[in-house]
Amino acid sequence: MHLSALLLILLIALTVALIAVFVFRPQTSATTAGKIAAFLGFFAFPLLCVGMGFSAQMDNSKSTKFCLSCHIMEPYGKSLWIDDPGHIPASHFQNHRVPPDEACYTCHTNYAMFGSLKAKLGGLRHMYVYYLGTPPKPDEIKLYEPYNNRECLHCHAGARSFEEGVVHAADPAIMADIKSNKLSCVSSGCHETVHDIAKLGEQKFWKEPPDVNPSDH
Amino acid sequence: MSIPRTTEGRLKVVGLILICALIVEAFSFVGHGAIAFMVFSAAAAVLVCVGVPAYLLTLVREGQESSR
Repeated sequence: MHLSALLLILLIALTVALIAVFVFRPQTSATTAGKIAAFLGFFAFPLLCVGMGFSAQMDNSKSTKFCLSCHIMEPYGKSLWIDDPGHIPASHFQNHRVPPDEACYTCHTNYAMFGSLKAKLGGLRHMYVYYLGTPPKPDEIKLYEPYNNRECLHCHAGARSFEEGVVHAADPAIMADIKSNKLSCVSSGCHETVHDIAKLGEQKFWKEPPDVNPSDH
Repeated sequence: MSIPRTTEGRLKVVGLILICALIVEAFSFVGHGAIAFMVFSAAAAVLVCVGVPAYLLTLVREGQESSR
């Protein structure tokens, strides 16, 4: 458990204890000190607990484990372990080009103003559909909009391997088209093999993909 | 359930709501998946959002009653 989570649990325990005093001995709030303690216990601490909890939950929602906790995402999680450098998500994940603990979020957030908020609102919609709606089959899942090169260029722009890449630098027009999102990085003939879950059964894996839902739910 | 008429009674109800909220919040940290997030946002946060204004309302009512 992280230190911040431990601190939060301690704060929650302290707040519950403080509130319990007023629930079982309400006369305690009659004095000035009691009123101040009641204000802390009933107002300040609960809001602090929820604020800290919200922040911790938001951080947790960026984790790969969180994204893969929905069963329909399992094939996408498995595709990160495919032993083929041509599979873009797998090669990024296995070579730590993206933080493995936040692999999904790193590529599927939106690196624009309010992009993180947009990604999180999208995530809330996914949860609504998953628990209260009719979730699609894994192979029916599509992006809301075509994958934007901005997300790739967030890391790759300026990198020597990208700027001096044989194909990228072959023609200045190609580079301009990539940077202006006219030519998609994941277009056919380029880095087209993204989560190819339809052929997952035919793939060789680098390691056995871990079971992210051992307890099931 | 009748609404408590005394400040002490109201504080008891608000306190129980907040204790429930905080216990649910603590339990939401046991899990790491989407369910934990749902439990936190749909139960813990909602209960705190009910409990804290209820506490403030209790203070306002107490002030009104003592000024009469």
